[in-house]
This record gives sequence, C-alpha cells and structure tokens, in this order.
Amino acid sequence: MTTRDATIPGARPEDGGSRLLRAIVETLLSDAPVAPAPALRRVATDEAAAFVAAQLRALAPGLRWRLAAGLAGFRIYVRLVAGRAFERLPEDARRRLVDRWSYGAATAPRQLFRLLRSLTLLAYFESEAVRAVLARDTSIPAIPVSPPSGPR
Amino acid sequence: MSAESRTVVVVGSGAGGASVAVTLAESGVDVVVLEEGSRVDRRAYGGTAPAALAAFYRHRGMTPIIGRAPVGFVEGCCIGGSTEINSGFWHRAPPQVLSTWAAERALEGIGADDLAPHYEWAEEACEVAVWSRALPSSTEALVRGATALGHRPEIVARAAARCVGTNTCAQGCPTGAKRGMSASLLPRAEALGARVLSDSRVARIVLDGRRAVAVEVRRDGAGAGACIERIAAGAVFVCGGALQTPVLLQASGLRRGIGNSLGIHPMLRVVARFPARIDAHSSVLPLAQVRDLDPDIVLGGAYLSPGHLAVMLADNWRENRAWMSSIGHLAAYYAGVMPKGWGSVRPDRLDRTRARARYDLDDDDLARLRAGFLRLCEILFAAGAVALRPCVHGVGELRDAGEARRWVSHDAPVSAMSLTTVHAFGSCPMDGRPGRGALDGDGRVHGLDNVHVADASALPGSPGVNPQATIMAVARRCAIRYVERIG
Repeated sequence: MTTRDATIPGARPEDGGSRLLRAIVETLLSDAPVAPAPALRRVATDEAAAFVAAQLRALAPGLRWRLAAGLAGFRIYVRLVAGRAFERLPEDARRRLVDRWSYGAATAPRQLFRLLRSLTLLAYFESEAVRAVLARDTSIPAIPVSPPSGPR
Repeated sequence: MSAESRTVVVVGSGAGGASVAVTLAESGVDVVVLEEGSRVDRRAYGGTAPAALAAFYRHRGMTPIIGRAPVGFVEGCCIGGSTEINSGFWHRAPPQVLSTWAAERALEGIGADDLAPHYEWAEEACEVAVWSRALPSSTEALVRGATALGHRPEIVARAAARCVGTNTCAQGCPTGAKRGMSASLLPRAEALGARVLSDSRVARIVLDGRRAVAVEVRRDGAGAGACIERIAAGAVFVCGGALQTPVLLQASGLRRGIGNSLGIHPMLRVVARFPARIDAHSSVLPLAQVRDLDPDIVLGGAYLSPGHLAVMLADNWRENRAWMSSIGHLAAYYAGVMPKGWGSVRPDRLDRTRARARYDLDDDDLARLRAGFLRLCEILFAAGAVALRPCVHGVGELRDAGEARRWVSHDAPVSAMSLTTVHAFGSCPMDGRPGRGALDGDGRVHGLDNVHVADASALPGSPGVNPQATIMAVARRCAIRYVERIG
C-alpha cells in the first residue's frame, strides 16, 4: 500500500475498505430484492465492499479527492443531523440518510451515491451466491465455475 | 532509416496496433508490439463482470469522460485492447462519411472504393458474418417494434461468426468465437516474427529532430518489479486509442493538433419489460439497429447481465429494484447520438500517465438524443413492452408512449441522465492540409518523419457507426503506405 493510496477512502484492504464505506455498502444492500442465506449474503456483501474499495482506488487522483471530499461531507452531515457516526446508527436511520443523499435535488450528492450504489450492486448481483438465487428463482444460468479473479 | 535500428515499435495491441503489426510483419519488417495491459489467460475469459474489470479494462473501467454530465466510458487494457471486451459489431463507415472526410480534410485514398480492400482484409481476418440462426427474442422485439412503425431495422454483422450466445462479450469471449485481436491478428503477427510484449507501457517517444529514435518503456515484469527500458526504434506507430495516444504524444513534447478534437457517441439506455419471457440475460445482446430515423441517431440493444441490469436500474433503485426478480422478462436498449462537437484530452494534472478527457454535449446533441430516445420508447411499446425504466434520475416507470413523450417534452436536465459511451475517436485527426490536424494523410504526425498514429484517434471525425472496422482499414492503409515509402 502506497502513501498515496492511504489518503483515499477504502484504502485499507485488511478490512475491506474504510468502516464508513463498508457501512454504506451494507446499507445500500439492506433492501436488495434478491438475498441468499445469511452466511452467503455476508460473503456477497464482503465481496461488494472489497470491490467498491478497489474500484474507487482506480479513479484518477482528482476524482478520488472529490470522492473523499464527498464522503467527508457525508460523514459531517450525519454527525450533525444524527449526532453519531454513520456506522453506529441503526439500519433504518442509515437508509434514510443514504436515501436523502441518493434521491435529493442536489446533483453532487446524488452522483456520489449513484457511483457507490452502481458499484455495490454490480458486485452483489454478479456474486456467485446471488446469481445462484437468481438462477433458482428466475431460471437464469448460474456461473458454473469460479473463474480466476485476474490475469494470468 | 536510422543506422541504429530498423525495428518498428507499435504501441498498443488493439484493432489499430494489431492491424499495423501484421501488415508490417507480412512485409518482412521487424516489429515489436508494446502493450500496457496484461496477456489475460484464456481461462479468465467469460468470468464475472468484477473479475473482468480487473483483468481486461483500463483502470478497472473507472475512466469517465467529464463534462456537463459525466459520461461513463470504458476501454480495454490488455493484449488485444478493446476488441477483447466489445460486442464485435461490424460496420463499414458510410461512403458519405468517408467522402466528407476526404473533402473537408483534403485526404486522398480514403474513399469507400479506396478502403474497400482493407475492409475486406479485416472482415476476413475477423470472420465477420451476420447471425444466421433464429434471432434471439430481444432482437426480435426491436425488429418487430421498429418494423411496425415503418423503420427498416438491420441485423448488424459481427466479428463473431461462430458465436453461440454465451452473453459474455464484455468479459471476454470464452469460446473464442468473437475474433478479438488476441485470437485473430496477433497470433498471425507473432507467427511472422513480430514480438508482442505485455505489461509494457510506453512513457515517452524519444525524438531527435524530426525523427523518433527510441521509446522509453516501463515494464512491469511478474515478480521483478518495474523497470524502465529504452528500445531503439526505426519508426513508431502509436495505436493506444483515442485517450492514451494524445497523452503519449503530449508526454513526448508534441502539441499541435493533438488532443483537441475528441469525439464520442453518447448513449442513453432503457430497460424494457415484456409480458412473456425474453431471456436477454442468457442470449447474445440484441443484434438489430435502427438507423433510418436520422443519420446522427442510432437505436440498438445493450448488454444485459444481473449486475449490469442492477446498474441500469440504480438511478431510481427504490422504485426499480423489484424488477430484478423479473430479469427473464427484461431487455436493455439504447438511443445513441453522433454529436457535432468536440472534446479534449490532456494528461491528468496529478498523474501525467492518465488521460483527462472532457466532453460537453451541446443543446442540439441533447435534442437529438431526446428525439432518439423517444422513438426508441415508441418502438419498444410497439413491440409489446408493458413498461420502460430509463436510466434517468427522477423518471420512474413509463407505461406508454404518451408518458415517454411527456418526459421528453419536459426537457429533463442532462445531469439527471446516466450516459455511457464505448466509442471515442478523432483526438489526433488526419488532415492533408499542412498545419491542420495532427497527422498527414498517411497517419504521420505533422512535422515528423517516422512517428505515425493508426487507431481511433486518427479518424478525422465520427464514423457514424462502430469504429472498429474503419480503424483496422485505415491502420492497414497507413502501414502499407509506410512499407511503400521505405521500399
């Protein structure tokens, strides 16, 4: 991990990203319409959190800084309106706050959460556990084997 | 040719680079292809979208084009470049487009008849063919709706004659049916003696007066760490694509006409729900396109997997999420527009190796995009769709064409639209007039003797269609002219 990486959100691979980012991913998936068994859901959520962190690290530096500023703004906003850190709030309160930023009139917060939600959902619905549920419920083909995760 | 090297360095291994490499190698030229990305193991082809983003895509696909609204843009960064992750759609540029390029840019030998043998060469190499089996339901739907409204939809040829519909184009074709460059031209070039090196990013072209004499390459060898090498070059063909090519040329001290004229084909997508199963997620993407509405508007089908469907529904997830359980009844389509304006490409201020691309859609572009989108909605309802969900924040379910018309007339702001593109071009355009454009009519950088560009960035404007065929034809033409010049 380089010094530059350490300045961005989700920069700690040992815990699958920052605690805030992890909590946001969990909240974005809390109302997912397709859910595998709890243990597998946890695996899918872990994969989504790690994926989102890796994707955000791949952004250009200027965009990473804007993202970091947006998340810092969200963190401060939550403290002001809820009096506690986002990670310590109950699920309903988290979801209300995320929805307020996701679907409000202001463009920048909406685009921030559009990005986080898109990455989270992409990883979640491509995970083997969720695709297995979809396959069972909708006859879509499950992925037969786990492909290698990268080149070589 | 310099005394020190007769090697031609080709930067990039996508449609342009592979075409140049094999053409030069066939003529006995010593060729080395330097590809920034990795050589992806065949067993990784056809995996999940997250795995593919890490393996095949530049910066894991996190390369938006900035402007009035960010436009999602992705490109390949691997052996074979974007041909490994595109859909393989194949179009020759319309003759009127080529004649306009020739007239406006004073280009010779670029008319439809001139390029025909190069197109034929590329079509044979990529096994281009029209789908010959029963049309998938998602294609049938678009054809049915378009025909009902008086259009003449076309089934588009693809560089995938033996496609069996695994629906994994964007993750690399696991069967090899899609003839990306890693399966078609690059093996042929290697058999002729060309060396194709992966994990090799060219940081700079070393110039001596009017000539390139070497390239500086950062090589990321497995386990060996990164190292910088200098490779002597008798000539250089830059084929890094519309965003990376201008960045490399600018990093090499070249400025004139470079990076000032980026073109893209932005698209707005919609998810359609049909009463009967359509199973778009388990068949090849819709193969039909509608092009007779306006020369600058195209309507077609989009790739759909569970993850991509969720992304398309994400703008209004609270209302849309229930649709995930009906995936078998859903298909995705798009309206695309060929804008008249130009964007720019510059090195990122904080990371000079990355491209910072900017494109602002103007009001005319938006008006045409809205008009195309409305017609797409009308076609889908005519095809039997019972509801549509556009990728636009704040626009919920559209249940009939009247609702679509009301939304379009409402002029939703561009910032509410989730736009995407996979076509970027024209950032280093050819122009036969001295001092105009970035390249001469043979693809040589103006003012230099032996630095060429042969990729999407060299196209003088929008080809109006998927650019791969034209990139390959123009690249081959440039390589042949180089061989003729050096005798």
